[in-house]
Amino acid sequence: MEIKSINVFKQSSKSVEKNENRENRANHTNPFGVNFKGNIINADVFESSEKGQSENRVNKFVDSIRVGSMNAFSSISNRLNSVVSFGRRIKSDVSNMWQQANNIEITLGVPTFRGWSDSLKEKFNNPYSVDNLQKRDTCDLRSELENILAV
Amino acid sequence: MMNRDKKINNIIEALSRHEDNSAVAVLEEVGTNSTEDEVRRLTSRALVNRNTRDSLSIVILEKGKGINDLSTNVAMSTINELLSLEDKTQAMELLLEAEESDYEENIKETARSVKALMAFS
Repeated sequence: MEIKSINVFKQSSKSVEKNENRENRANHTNPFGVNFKGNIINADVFESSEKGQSENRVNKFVDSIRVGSMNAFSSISNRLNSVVSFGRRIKSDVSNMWQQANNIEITLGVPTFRGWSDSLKEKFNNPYSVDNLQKRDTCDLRSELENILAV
Repeated sequence: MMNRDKKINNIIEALSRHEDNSAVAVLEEVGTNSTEDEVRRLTSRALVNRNTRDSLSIVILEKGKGINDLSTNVAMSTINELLSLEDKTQAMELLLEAEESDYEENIKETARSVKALMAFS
């Protein structure tokens, strides 16, 4: 008794599934019932058989591209204008700087050079630098120190 | 032209770095016996920086020189130089020797104090 009732339930469930599949195929324009991972693919991905609808879509698409390109062109022209103005400003600044540079006289100060050479001379030729004193004999250093302290 | 103080400073510094050990005798005889505090201070610093037994024994063990100088400025400067030494082994040995040997009580006491400071540094 129980086995019979189970079989009846199975048959009834199969018939329900068949009816559902038929309904799905009728709703979608997918004539082949192509499915992807268990989902039946909608008609949107297929080319419509009606020419009017496709033409409308193409027109809309072209219009949207046109509007988008207009916006893009306007932004590009704005950027170009800003670049041109920046270039003009730089040009004017450079020309002003050049005029100022022409009016400036650059002279190398002799005292500065003399000070620099003196410091080098002092470093290498100074007899009282620690490096040069270290090379001398301790007797010399003793007499030198005594002489300085006596003053 | 270099002034007098700079010359004295450079000569003492050169004697401090000199390879010849007779430089220690020059520093002791001329530098530590000077009447000028600044010359004695520079000489004590040079002897400490030389960091040999001969040079350190002058500033630690001799009366009126280095840490035993009558001038507080010279004595404190010498102690400061001793505390700044990287290698304190020679100085510690001499301070211990000063503490245990038959030196004057003043020298012993100063050496004991400096040794305690060096142990904490």
